[in-house]
Amino acid sequence: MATKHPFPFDSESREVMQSFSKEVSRRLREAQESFVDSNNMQRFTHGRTWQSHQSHDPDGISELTTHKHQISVKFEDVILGRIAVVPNTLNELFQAMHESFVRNLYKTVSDACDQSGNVVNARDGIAKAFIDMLEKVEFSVGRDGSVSLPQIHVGPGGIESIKSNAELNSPEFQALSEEIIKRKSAEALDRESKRKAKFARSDS
Amino acid sequence: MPKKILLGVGCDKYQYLSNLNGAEKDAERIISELTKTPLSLIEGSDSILLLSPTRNEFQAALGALQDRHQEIESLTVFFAGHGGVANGSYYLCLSDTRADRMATTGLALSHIFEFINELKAAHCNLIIDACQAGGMVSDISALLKPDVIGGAKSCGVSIFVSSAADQSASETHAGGWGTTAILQVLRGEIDTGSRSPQLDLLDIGRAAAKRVADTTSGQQLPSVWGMNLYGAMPIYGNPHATGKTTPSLLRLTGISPASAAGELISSSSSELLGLMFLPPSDLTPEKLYYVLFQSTEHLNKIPGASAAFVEGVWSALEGHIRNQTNTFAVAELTATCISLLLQAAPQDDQAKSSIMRLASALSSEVLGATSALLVELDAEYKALCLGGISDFFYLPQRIARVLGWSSAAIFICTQCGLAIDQLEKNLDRIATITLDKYAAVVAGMSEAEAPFWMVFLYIAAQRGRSEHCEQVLGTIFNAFIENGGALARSDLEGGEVLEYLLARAEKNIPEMLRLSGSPSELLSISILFSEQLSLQEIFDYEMHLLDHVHLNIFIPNDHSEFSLPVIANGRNHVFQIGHGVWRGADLVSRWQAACVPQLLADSSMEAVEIKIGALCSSLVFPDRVPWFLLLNLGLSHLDSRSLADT
Repeated sequence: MATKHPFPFDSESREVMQSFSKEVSRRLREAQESFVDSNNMQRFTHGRTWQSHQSHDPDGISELTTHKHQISVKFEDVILGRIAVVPNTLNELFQAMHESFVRNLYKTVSDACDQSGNVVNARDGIAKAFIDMLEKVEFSVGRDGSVSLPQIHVGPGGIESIKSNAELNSPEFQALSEEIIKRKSAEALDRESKRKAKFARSDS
Repeated sequence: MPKKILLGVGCDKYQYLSNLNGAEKDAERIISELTKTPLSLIEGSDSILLLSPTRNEFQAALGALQDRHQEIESLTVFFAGHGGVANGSYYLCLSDTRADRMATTGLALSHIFEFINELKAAHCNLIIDACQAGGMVSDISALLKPDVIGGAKSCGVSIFVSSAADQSASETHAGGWGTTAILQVLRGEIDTGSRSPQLDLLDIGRAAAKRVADTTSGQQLPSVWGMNLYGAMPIYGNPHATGKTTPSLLRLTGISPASAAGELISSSSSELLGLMFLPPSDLTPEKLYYVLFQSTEHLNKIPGASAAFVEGVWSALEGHIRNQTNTFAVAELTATCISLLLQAAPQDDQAKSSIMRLASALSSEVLGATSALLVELDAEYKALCLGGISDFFYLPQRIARVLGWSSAAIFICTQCGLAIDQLEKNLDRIATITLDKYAAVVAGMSEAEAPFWMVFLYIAAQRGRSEHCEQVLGTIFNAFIENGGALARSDLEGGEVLEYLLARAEKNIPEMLRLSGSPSELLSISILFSEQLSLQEIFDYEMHLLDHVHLNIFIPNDHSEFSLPVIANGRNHVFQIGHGVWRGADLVSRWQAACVPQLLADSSMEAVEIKIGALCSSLVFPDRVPWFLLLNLGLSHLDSRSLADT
């Protein structure tokens, strides 16, 4: 039997916590949109597994990953009226969930690259690795018909070393990378054109 | 074995109120009928007759019952005499009761329930045939509040109260109208309509109440009210019996109210009884399912227990829910009850039998609801439109539901071997009217339409109604094209509907996507059916307009889990137009390669009851689609191009 309390405000409290969860979800969704196009975000009500029939491995079955983080609010904070705990807890939960998501995202990308062999080695210098990366990455075409260039994600330390790298800033490197980007963009547009041609009718 | 006990009280002689003539005789006749005929279920030795007792004598009789019995299957209390209302409470008037001191000299109804609580009776029947002595009350049920009934803490309470305005209107020398009508039911002179071997007080009371209302031209309107968590608890044999019914939980399983399992049911009794006091409009399938699921998830382990419990609750709620403005409310209640039995069905034959009985009742309900709708539509074709801003959103869903439920009833009747002629006629006429008069809005607002269109298209395709299929499929497909593939998600809350309507009106695709159900199962349905109905050329021609839109087909591993709020064991088959799917045939190819084998691997689907239960679950909870229906349609004539080939 549930513990009895004077004026428990049970249903009201449930509504407050539902709003709390919704706010965390809203912030997470906004943050995730900087990594994943909102058009490609999907929402499932049932099932722990899914099969992406449009992927390179249409028979592969993926399993959902659980992200969880526990928050606690101390009785003392409530009794002392430390209302700043509310936004702080909200931020704490959001940050923890977001970090977990980002970690998982990079791990998924890393695992996929390892599996496909799309890995470059920086042993021969960062410029060579950069060029290798451009060669290996398949450029894609967005829904608006323009080529989406690959995004580079590096940590704060890494970005400084890229900025100060003489080889990366040399005219030769710039010319070579531009040539690759131009060629691979053309290849991407050609692929997109062939993809669209598979429709019975196409506007393009 | 716990006994059935009957306490009959008739009070003619009053010290401070006007005497009556037939009350004692009523009590004698009821005791005689309930204990001495071939249809009697109560032993004569388990009955007690009190004639014109004082308040103390009545209380002493109840106290003696407490001393004599540790446990009782059912306690039936009959009272004929004066009754009255004081300070918002109802009182039985005993021989020493004073009208001006009702609270201290009468016996409050709530006091009787407190006695019942200590008796540990699985069920309590209370029959009151009273003339008004104190303040008048037009509707006794208004006094039967949770704080009165809840005192009983019994697993079931059934009440019949026939309360008349004055003596001359209610009582003849032969007895009160209420008692006379009850005796007529017991003797078979009034047919309850039930064909079960035995009758409970709800069966008897409803038929008797109708007779009293007719006899008194509506001057006397008895109240009949009941909730039995223990399944049917009969008090008399049925003179018109032909069929079978589920016996009570106590008789079937031996679960007594005092046992651990009994206490489990009793622990939910306040929530379940609370359902009876909700306004009918608040009794949504979701609310019913979640309250009842708390009990059935434990009862599923005991053979026969879920069936007795669910049928008991169905019988108790059916009359209450019939007061809803939704003409399909009883159909939804019945489908909810079937869904609750789905998990138990694979290992419990009683649950299977119960599903079949409820399925038959469901079909009758749908037949009645569709016949009534046709009368409305014949008088005014706009009858399905309630008007207002919200109907821009809900009208298409109303149409999908009407056609979906009608089609589901045909599927169920076919599975059960029942007649479908009239259901088919109704469906044809409603489909023709709606697809003609509501052509612009018939479909394509929300993903919640998916299971309804699935079953409608399945039945229509099987019956060769290709013109209906083509129109529905075309409307859905166009809705996806016009709205960037972003139909509202199935669980969109009422508070978000306006945002979606505004976004749709402004063609604000990013905002619509936020409120939409990507990936879409409804689009998968329309594409697969377009292939089935040889509409592929038209659909394929426009497919490029849905480039990049995601599709989904969710298939559970075991359809007996299809009614769970969240079905964890299952796979989402995700597709994307323009990335593996350029034509309908591409989707069919993957359907055959991956979805069909998964469906065929589910051995639970071999049982008709699971198919019916799974279909009902999808209609009650439209966030899941009965994809198994497509297995019967073949989809095998198509070429076998695979994604790799295209």
